[in-house]
Amino acid sequence: MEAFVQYLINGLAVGGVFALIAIGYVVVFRVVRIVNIAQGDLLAAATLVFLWLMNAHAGLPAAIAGAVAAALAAALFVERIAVTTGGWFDDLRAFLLTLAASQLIQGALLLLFGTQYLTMPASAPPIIAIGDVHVNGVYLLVIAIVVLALVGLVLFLERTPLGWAMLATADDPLAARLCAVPIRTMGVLAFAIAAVVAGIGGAAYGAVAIGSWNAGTTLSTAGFAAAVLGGMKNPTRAAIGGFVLGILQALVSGYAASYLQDPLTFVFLIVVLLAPALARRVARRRPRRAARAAAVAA
Amino acid sequence: MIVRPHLTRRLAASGAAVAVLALAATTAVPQAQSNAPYVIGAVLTISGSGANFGQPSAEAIRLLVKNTNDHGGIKGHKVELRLQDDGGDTQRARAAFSQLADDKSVVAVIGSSASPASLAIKPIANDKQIPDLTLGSSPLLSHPPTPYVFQFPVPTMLRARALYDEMKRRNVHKIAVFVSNDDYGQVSEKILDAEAQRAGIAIDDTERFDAMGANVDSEVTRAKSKSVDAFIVFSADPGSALVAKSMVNQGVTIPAYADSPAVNPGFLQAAGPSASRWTVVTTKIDIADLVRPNDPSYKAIHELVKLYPAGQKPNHFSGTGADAYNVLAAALAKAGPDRVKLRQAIEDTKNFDGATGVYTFSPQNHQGVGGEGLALITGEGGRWKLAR
Repeated sequence: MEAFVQYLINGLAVGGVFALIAIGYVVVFRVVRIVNIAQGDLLAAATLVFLWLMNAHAGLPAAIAGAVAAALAAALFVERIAVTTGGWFDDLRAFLLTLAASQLIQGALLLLFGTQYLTMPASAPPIIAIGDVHVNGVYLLVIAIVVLALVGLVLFLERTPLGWAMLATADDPLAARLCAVPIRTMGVLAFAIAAVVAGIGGAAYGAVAIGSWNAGTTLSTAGFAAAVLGGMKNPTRAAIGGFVLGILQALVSGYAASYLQDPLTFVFLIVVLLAPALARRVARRRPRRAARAAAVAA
Repeated sequence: MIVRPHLTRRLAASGAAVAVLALAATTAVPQAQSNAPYVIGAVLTISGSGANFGQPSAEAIRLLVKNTNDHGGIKGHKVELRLQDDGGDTQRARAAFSQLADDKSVVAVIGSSASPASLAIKPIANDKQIPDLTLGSSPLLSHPPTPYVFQFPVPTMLRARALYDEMKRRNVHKIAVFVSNDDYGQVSEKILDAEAQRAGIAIDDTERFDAMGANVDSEVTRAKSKSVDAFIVFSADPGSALVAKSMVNQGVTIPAYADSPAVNPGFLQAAGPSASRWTVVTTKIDIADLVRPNDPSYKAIHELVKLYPAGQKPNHFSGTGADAYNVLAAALAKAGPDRVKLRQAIEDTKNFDGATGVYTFSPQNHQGVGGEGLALITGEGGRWKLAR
């Protein structure tokens, strides 16, 4: 039981980070119709800056601010390459451009931080006892931060004029433009939101994992999987996708082995994505089979 | 989506340009003259996730080449280094090595940094008959020995044995093994199993994990539940740090043992005060300040250390890179640039004091170094010190 709770909490903390990446994918995809594959690299950049500042004793607020700033800089760079300059390609070229941007961000991180990885300054973790189970308080904090960020984003999108303008652009760019919504600004804003979320995610990830220049690739894949699980449209559902993925991975590593976590994650993804289609096919076959049986009987 | 044919045309054109460039690169080079420089090739992992292995070796070799040239070269011949990056990719390593081997002015090649790329190079070196001084540590690189491949790191088996000997001394009987889910981890797992049997230590749990994953909390939770006496970690970076961090997070206070990739500042940072519960096997260069002047490795280590600018220092990967270069330079001084004679001179190397240990090659033995240069170290106050 203790092991299960440990796996669950670890899964929620890591899944929370996946959730934040997934939200970034969804916000950008809805507004500018681009799968920004560099989303994980924004988070990796934020993680490194956060850990670097924490180790320089800059204090938690400054470190989080630095993380968000780093993610913002990286996101605006991606936006500039893949959206503004490209002129809103609605096709695979934009995807390729974000992939190129991802490699450039990794290169920049390698130049800035080298191959050395960073972690939080070691200290005794705040252990919280829940019944017989001892839980690292940092993990609970990370889970709380992710949930808060999610609630904040949903409130922003649904309760503020700026949020409405963004949603309008996402739903129908032409109509939004006719209503004097500056859709280009909305595109930049989408990237900025993805960056803020990645900045917070970077700080969270730094607290529970290790920062390295090439962590972005794995994170991008996991976040993308989560976003697709959530349907690529709704931030809340994408976040749930992230949590599901994180818990799944933690349980797989706990009860099987962690090297199976990626393959099993994708098996799960295939099943979830294909389930509706398979169900439909089965439903279509059944009457046919019944008809055939009837014909034979006749 | 709009189809744009000119894009494909442009792609084809750039493809053709690349092909032309590739052709130009393989055209004949002038033959070596009497005072022509000795060209040394190197295929190392300078980018990608294995960059931690390759970059320190590359830096050491670069500094040593500069040092040689500043002191008049080898018998009047300047040394020219042709360094190629394989990114840890076997295909790239093969291509880079072939290119160097086909260039008649290249006398020998150092590399690659890790075992998969080195194993990919091995048949080409023997095929094209060019000495390859490999920094990979897989036993397959020199067992059985092949004429042109010489191996420089201390074999994994001897590092495992050193850690198990220490465990026996400290009455550790039951352990959990952590290996990264990559080539190095898989090879290490087999060696750790075999050596544990030999040492009479029981492996109660084996965790194969992703060294690039977010954390190994689940694995540590499970290993902890087996109530073992100690953990042993043979993982690529940053796997040892992940284990150390998870142990701290879960309050696991049993001793832990690790292979040399753990020796880096990131590990000490992740482990914090718990680093004093860790014993890491590495070569003495990682504790250069503590090596005594009567140690056979003292001279090689300190000659290398003083080439580094203030604030930088070599590590064990730098040490094996430096040893490969120094053995090669000595062989060049003896035999000159002819590849066949050079190969013979490397094979004739006897009792060569390197930073990693004492090198002796023979026709039957192309794994040049034993375990005498190993050191067991532990962390204390953010620094490494001898474990005993």
